[in-house]
Amino acid sequence: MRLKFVLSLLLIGVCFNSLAETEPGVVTVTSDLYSEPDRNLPAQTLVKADTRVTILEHSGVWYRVELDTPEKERGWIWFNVQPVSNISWLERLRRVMRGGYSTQEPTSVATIGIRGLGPGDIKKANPDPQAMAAMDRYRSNPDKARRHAGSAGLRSQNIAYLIVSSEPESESDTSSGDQFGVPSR
Amino acid sequence: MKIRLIIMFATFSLLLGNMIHVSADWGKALEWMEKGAEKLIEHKDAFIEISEPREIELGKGMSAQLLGAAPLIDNTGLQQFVNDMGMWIVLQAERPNLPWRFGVLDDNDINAFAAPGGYVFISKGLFMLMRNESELAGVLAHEISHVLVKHHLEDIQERAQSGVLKDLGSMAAEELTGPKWNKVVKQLINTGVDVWESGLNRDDELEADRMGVVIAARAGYDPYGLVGVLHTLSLISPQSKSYQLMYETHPPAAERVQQLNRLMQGQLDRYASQAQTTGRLIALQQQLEQ
Repeated sequence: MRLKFVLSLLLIGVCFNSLAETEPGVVTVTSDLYSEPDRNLPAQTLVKADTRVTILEHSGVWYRVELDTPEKERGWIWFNVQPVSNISWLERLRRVMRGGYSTQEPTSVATIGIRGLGPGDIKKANPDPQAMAAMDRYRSNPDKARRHAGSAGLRSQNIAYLIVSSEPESESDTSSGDQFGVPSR
Repeated sequence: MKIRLIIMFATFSLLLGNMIHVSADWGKALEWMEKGAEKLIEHKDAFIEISEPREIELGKGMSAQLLGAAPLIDNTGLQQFVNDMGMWIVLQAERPNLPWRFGVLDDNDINAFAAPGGYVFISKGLFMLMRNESELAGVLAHEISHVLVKHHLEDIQERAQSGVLKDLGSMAAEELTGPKWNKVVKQLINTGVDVWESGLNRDDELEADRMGVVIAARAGYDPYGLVGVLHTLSLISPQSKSYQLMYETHPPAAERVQQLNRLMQGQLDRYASQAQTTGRLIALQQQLEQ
């Protein structure tokens, strides 16, 4: 009797432990899969958006995943994975008892990290003058901006705004000198 | 608005006509006419034009409100980078002398905001999606374009005509100073936040796309950067909560890609080989990953 009780506890513990380490997710944007969490490495494969994955590990904005494909390929995806984190413990238990939830369609996805802005959040907020003062400190000026651009080899050039017509023009008009003319609306 | 002016003018003419008929007091009639004309001009100033200093004040108020909801990321290098880049892009456009400020919000949602007077924000969520500087340049140039052609300001004015400005009746422009202006500007800020939450109209967004790609190209970037971002957005599920606000307040990304591809072909193709530049951006993104 006692042994059965201990085994049951052990089984439940294993179930929840595995849940804590793995979680279903979805790839939100077609993304590269890397062997290590380093975008300087060559990608091992391209994972299409909406591919279901099992999240094996989460480090910063890197996710180590196993693709929900026959090959079960494993690797790291940068940022573009969203865990299904709005499942109650009861639902988790129900799905575990049913044989896992990796085959379930996620009904919704959750944001990563802090909660995003919802309807009414900006209006309800208190203005933050200190943050505005910080913005003043970060402000650039034309000379600094030119140095910044120059360091990346960027050069300014004269290009006219796009001509909106049913038949696109074949050439942009760079000879008029009217670089800053706001296009007609 | 025009109707209101016409009615005012007609009423004024009627009064004038009666006065001439009854009293034949031409001096007084002229005086009335002069005052009426002044009133019309004042009315026009108060209800149609918002001066640049007031535009800046309005944008500052909206920005302070936004920062109260989503703070700036505490990373000087990142914020200065975005400001330097934004200022460089602004130098390629029409209103370089506005007090332009750029900020990266500590918000993992995918979004960007512009406020009148030269305030531009990008969320961390969108910043982290950027694959290179040309994509970031496209996003910043899109938001800058909203400010250049006063999309938000016009929308705020339009919405306010039936709200806060209507309540003011025939108050003259110069009367809208001190506490009265302070009261009005608070209501205009609220209206501006409403514009953020409900979105600009479709035409304004498409116009900002068309202008944005050109301004980014003028700054030396690959103009297809914005197309790349929109393509990325088009692949995100609309059910994703982090994309919800942007999805609901903008035309479908696929439609925007289609418009740009159609217009850019033949007009901006030659600039497609311009810089994309990845190193600096990825270094900053890696800092945010810590």
